[in-house]
Amino acid sequence: MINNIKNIISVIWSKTVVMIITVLCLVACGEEEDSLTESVLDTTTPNLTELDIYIRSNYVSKYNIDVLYEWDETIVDNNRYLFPPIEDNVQPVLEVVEKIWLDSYTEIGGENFVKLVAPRQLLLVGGRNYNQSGTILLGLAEGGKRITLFETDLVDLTDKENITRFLSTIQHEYCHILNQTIPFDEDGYGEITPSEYTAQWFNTSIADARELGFISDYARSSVIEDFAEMVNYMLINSNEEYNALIDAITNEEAKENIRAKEAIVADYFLKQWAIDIYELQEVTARNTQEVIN
Amino acid sequence: MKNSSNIIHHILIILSVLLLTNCSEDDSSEVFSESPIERINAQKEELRTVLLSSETGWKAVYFTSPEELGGFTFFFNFLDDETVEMTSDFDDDFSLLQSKYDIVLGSTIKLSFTTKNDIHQLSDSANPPDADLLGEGYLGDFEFLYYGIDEVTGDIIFRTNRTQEELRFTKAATNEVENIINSRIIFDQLTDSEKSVYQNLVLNVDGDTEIFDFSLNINRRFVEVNNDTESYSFGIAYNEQGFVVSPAIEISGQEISEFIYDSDTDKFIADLGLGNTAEIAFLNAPSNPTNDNALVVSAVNSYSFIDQYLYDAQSSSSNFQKSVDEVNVQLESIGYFLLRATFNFNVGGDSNVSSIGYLLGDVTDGSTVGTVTHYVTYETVDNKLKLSDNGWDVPAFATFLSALDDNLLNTEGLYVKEEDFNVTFSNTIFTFTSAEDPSFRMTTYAFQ
Repeated sequence: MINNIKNIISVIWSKTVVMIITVLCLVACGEEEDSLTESVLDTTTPNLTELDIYIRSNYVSKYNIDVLYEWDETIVDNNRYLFPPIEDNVQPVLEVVEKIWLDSYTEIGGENFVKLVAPRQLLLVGGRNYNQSGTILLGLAEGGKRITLFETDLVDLTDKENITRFLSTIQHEYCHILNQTIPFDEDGYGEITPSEYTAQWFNTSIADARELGFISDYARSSVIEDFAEMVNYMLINSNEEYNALIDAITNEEAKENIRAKEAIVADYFLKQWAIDIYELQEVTARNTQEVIN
Repeated sequence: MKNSSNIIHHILIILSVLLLTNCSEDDSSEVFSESPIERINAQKEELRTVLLSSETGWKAVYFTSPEELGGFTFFFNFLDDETVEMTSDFDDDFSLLQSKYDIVLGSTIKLSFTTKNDIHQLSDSANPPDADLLGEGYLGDFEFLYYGIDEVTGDIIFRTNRTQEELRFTKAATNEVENIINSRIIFDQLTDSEKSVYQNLVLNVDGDTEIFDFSLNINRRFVEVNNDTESYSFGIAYNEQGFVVSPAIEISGQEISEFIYDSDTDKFIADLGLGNTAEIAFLNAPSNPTNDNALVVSAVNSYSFIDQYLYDAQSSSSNFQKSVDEVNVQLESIGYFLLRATFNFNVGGDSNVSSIGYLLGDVTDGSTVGTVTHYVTYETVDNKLKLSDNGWDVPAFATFLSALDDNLLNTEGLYVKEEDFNVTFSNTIFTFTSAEDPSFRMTTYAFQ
């Protein structure tokens, strides 16, 4: 009996000690932290220049597109020798892009068209992006999220041919973004001139490419690029200018093939995006003319 | 009950051990008293403060790729936390242009010139010094990793973002822009092909003289010196007194790092101490002439200057270009222009038949009209090729072509050299330089 009592006391004592030690264990590292102080991260509002305010108003708020013009090595191919644009050149170029590209699509596609289907970033690079082979990369559309435009510093606002060349990059790359959102019938399109696609497209002149049923030399690189080049050439030219390009082709089969591609393009824009591309062509041509005037 | 007691004892022991050890970490103390972000911010602030601290601005001599290109001198003046003005000796525009800069975190804190200014001209894929660097420009960078301040000199030490080359910003002189402008005058003195196309480097050491051909690639600012036994190459950067060589080069045991221009003698002189010198001067003849004059006439060979590709070749001297310009002025009056000038030696295997063919084009549509032939005889004398008149097929053209033709048939002859570079095509390049006027050098493709 006494032993039992001793045992019971021993167990109770042991349990008490266990509880005390457990509590000590739990609180031993519970030293009170300093109360939160001011953040060490830089949370100050950046200085906004007139250009930054223009971008926020006319691109970020209006179209949900950010414009990146200051250098950031994380978003540019560091293996290339590229550089940022001259700051004073940025707004004039953006105004042209807004007028010819954004305003035209908005007028035909509706107020929210570009806002809903657009790259989220427009990256501007100052100079040319030369490949070592001597070819020039005019632009990039990366995953539908960002369009990179090279040659910002080379835009001459008084020269239609120059502006057209710059805008052709956007028209081409934006077509890729539309295609990435809703694909076109690549198989059907690719059957029109199936044997003439080549990785060595740059060995053919534009004139020769047209005689083979392509609107440009680069169109020969793949079906997807062919489609984007068709859209590009339809939108950087007025309807009269575009028809004159086709009429100048001597090979009748080539003409027919380009017209067949044009029909697929028009059908895609109408059915998938409810856009009459010929109306878009007319408005784009008008806006281009207004910029030059 | 016994088991229960044992278990409790075991738990007691474990808990006691835990209690005794759980706060005994020996690495809990911070190595740094500040958090990483605080230290980064402090370093940014340090760099920003030092950039703004120099009232005269900063100077940097930037060798983008010392193995193949020379250096370019920049002047930076940091105006506020985000604006910098700069100029350089990259070209003849010395106006101070403003642009943005930022101090950001890359692989470490870096100075980034975020909108276009002079520094970006070194990174323009479309503006290389020559076709070999197409797509790469001058291999330059405009983001520089911050490696602290040299406590002795006060220089800011950077490394380039792409290639980790060291680049120092040194406090600028009060007249640094003027110095840069003056350095272009020095540049003109060293590169003036109107004096002569021949330059040499003479090394005077302990009374002995060693002579090297000196060849400067103007666009690359890169020099090659060689003679029969030795060859060296190095980049240079101009300054208001002469030019620096970086890294310093050792030639025949002598370390050379800077040449000073002496206007009295029209020489660039490096003082090597103990009376020893290295001097660069213009010459009337190559210091190490070749026997290529004999080579070109040793078989049925043709050498053609093709205006479209070779007029702008770096080896075509400005006085040669002036001769071509003058010929074209003359020819234009009768509706033609010069397409090619071609030496044809030993035509049809006959050593008595050689000529210079002048291929003419029509100014109205650029089409080829035909060739006017000036027959010549040749002799090789003293490493020179002497050509003599042997009649024209259409003598009336002689006066129209004389600005060029007279130089090719000058009485002193032509120095001929097989070059070790190509222009646009893989054809071997031969140059023909007038011995009478060594500022006249024609570049040709070999058709051997």
